[in-house]
Parts: sequence; structure tokens; C-alpha cells
Amino acid sequence: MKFKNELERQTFEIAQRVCGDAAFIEHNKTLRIEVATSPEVASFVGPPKKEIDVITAGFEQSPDFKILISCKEYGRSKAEPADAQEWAAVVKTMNRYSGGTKYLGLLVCPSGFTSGCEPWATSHNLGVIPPLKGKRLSFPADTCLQMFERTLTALNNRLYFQHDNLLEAPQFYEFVYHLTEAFEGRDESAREHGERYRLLGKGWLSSFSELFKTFKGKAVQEIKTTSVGVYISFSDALTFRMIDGTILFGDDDGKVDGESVSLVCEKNFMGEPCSTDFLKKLVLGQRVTSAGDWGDRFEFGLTDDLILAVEPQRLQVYRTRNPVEENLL
Amino acid sequence: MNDKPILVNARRERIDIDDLIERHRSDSHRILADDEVGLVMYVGDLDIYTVTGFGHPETGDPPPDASGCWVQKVNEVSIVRFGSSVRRQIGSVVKSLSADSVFVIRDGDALRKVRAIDLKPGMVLRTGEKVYW
Repeated sequence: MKFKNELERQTFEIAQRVCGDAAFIEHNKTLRIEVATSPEVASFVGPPKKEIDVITAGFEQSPDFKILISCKEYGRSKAEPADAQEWAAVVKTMNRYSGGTKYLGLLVCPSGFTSGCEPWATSHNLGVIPPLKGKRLSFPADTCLQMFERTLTALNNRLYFQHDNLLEAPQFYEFVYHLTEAFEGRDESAREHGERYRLLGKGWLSSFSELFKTFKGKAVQEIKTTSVGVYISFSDALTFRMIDGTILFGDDDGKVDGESVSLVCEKNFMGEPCSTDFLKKLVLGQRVTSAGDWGDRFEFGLTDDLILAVEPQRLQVYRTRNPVEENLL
Repeated sequence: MNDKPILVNARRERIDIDDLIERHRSDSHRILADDEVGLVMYVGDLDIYTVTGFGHPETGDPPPDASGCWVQKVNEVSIVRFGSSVRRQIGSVVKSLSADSVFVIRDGDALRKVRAIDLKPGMVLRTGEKVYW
């Protein structure tokens, strides 16, 4: 099978992955437009005939419902209102002669859309990927393909429920927007924190705020130090692992890599040597009340006014109760 | 600070979004997305509403129901794993909002979409509520 560009190939592969044989691609498909002078087809060159490239995605549970997908690979240029107008006309024409099949339109253009596209997309109920947002209008192609897969997978599930309302403008536009808008936050977090936080099991990128939400109120149950990293078990079968500069956390699978080693343990703010048992005796059973990440050092605020600081090669415990001199450990 | 939406059922009783999701998680088709970006669940058939304000800030009109809330039916609820929050006073209420959430504001004779983080004092929402800060 030949593709016009890499974007089209990858988009089609995703459609096939989600929709199976109900996804197909047509190049130079000829459409005939009934009223060539209508505003919707103003962008057509040489009406009443129009040749289009289209990926059609169908759904097993709702055979009369299909998505018409147009891939726009424009390099650095954004898609213009004419692109939205054209696809609106294509979808309208397909619906007119569909014999009962209901079509919705989706435009994918990684370089983004000019803001003038939004009124056309909303009034004609076209989904647009990436979403038209206030700050960022273009995204890497990989992110756009992830958005597309998320949208198509979600729609596949959504069609198990009543879905006629998706045909009313701008419900489908909003549906696609709702599923794609959050990618910006994920990409920003990746830029800001890199690979610092990862969710165990799923391997998903994570964030400090999600880490704190996970551990807030949970009690420290065990601390193990190995040649690979620091493993801390918490109540509710949760684990926190510092391995080099990466923090892995989430449901505890019980895995502990490497050989058991003794790390440097210190007490009090000035860092006096102490034994691992001394540190454990203080922190085991205490619950997390706060947290802080200093880049090379992660701190858990615990009940009993304790701070447990974790570094790849060092553990430290100190009490924050005032006056400091009277509350040394 | 809480970036979860305020949800109520048809009887205008408060619903916790985490409980709602756990209650329906076994219905795999209802979970539209659950991935690195977050979770989206379809609730269009469950009579779930989101609270959009308390009383009308300009006209003083009483709220449309006895509980004192303006509510709007929702089709999908979502938990965003990377959203940031902002605090804004809209109408008479100070809210914690996801920075990404979209508001429709009046712009002369037209309507315009802005994100919560871009809401400015003096803007008036489509619903008539004024942004104070």
C-alpha cells in the first residue's frame, strides 16, 4: 500500500489497530458537489468534482457510524480555514449520499491550525488534532499521533452508549478537544522534570504532585538499601524507589534489585552519623504529611515532626520541632 | 487546593469523582481513556452535573434549583495527571480551576474561548458571571 507521507501511514496504522478491517484508505477519491457555489465549497478547485485522500474509520459495534480522517502534512505551516471548509464540505457531501451511514470529520495536522479554523471546525462539528488552545497550537508529530489514537480508542468505547448527540455541532469537536487538551500539560511536565518521576508497572511519566497525592497519609513500613537504589515500602502496598536520579513509585510488586548494602545514615540537620536501625526506629510507622524534591535529594515530611531525606547514597533523619537544640535526635 | 470538578447527582448531592470512577471502573467501555495523560469516563447516562456557580452575580437571579447551585449536565468526567491549578474569583465564588479548563467569554458582540489561566479581571463569561481576579 502506498502512502502520501509518513503522517498518513502512521495515522492509518493507528486506525487499523483500533478499528481493524473497518479502517481503510482511499487516494484520489472523487466527490461530486451538488452546489458548487455554496460557501462551504468555496475552497474547492474546479467544482463540481473534487479529489480527496481519506482514511475512513468504522466501528464494529456501530457499523453505520464512520469517521472521515484527513491528514495534513504542511511542514511548518498551519492548516488554514480553507482546509476546515473543504473537509466540512466533504463530510457534508458524504452524509448526503450515505444511504444511512453517519459520517463525522476529523483533521490531523501536527503543525497546528490557525485560529480562524475554530469557527469552521465548531460550526461544522469537525474534530481537530492537535486541539486549538490558547497557548500552544503545534505539537510534535508523535504527540499528535498519540492524540489521534486516544481519540479513536475513546470513540470506539463511546459508541457503546447513546451517541446521536455527537452528530450535533459542536459535540464531536468538543469530544475530541476534551480528549486531547491535556497532552500539553504532559509535554510541559516532561520538559520541566524530564524522567525524574515514573509510575511503576505502567511506566507512565509522572509528576511531583501525583507522587505526593499517592503518599500523603501513608505510613513508612520498611526501608531497604541495595547496590541498585533505595527501596521504601509504605502502607496500602505502595513503594517508593530512588534509583540514581529517577524516582519510581506506585503499587509494590515486591521486586528489589541488587545486593543489600549499607548506606551512609545521618541524624539531625547538621548530619551526624547514626546507624540504619536508629533511623528506621524513628521513621517506621510514621505517616507522610509533606514532601519536597531538591533535585538530588527527596524529603518526606513525617508525623512526629520528622523529615526523612533520601539521596541515592545517603539517608538522613531530623526533627523540625523548635527549639532545635532541645529536640536533637 | 483541589483541581477536581465539583460534581452532583440529579438530587444535587455531592459526588466524589474518585468514588464515581471506582464504582464504574469495571464497565470497560465507560472508561474512554486511562493512560499517561489521565482518565476520561463517560457519564452522559448517569445524570451527573457539574456545579458552575452560586447565584447570578450580575442580576442576582435566584439559582435554578433549591440547592443554590447553577448546574450543567456533563457527558464525560476526567482526571488530568499533569494539569496545574489556578485560583480565580468568578462571580461570587473563589474557585480552584484546572489551568487548562476552557471558559467562553463575551468579547463585544462575539464569544471567545480562553483558558482559566488567561482569565483576566473584568472579563464576563457567556453565562454573565464576571471575573474579579
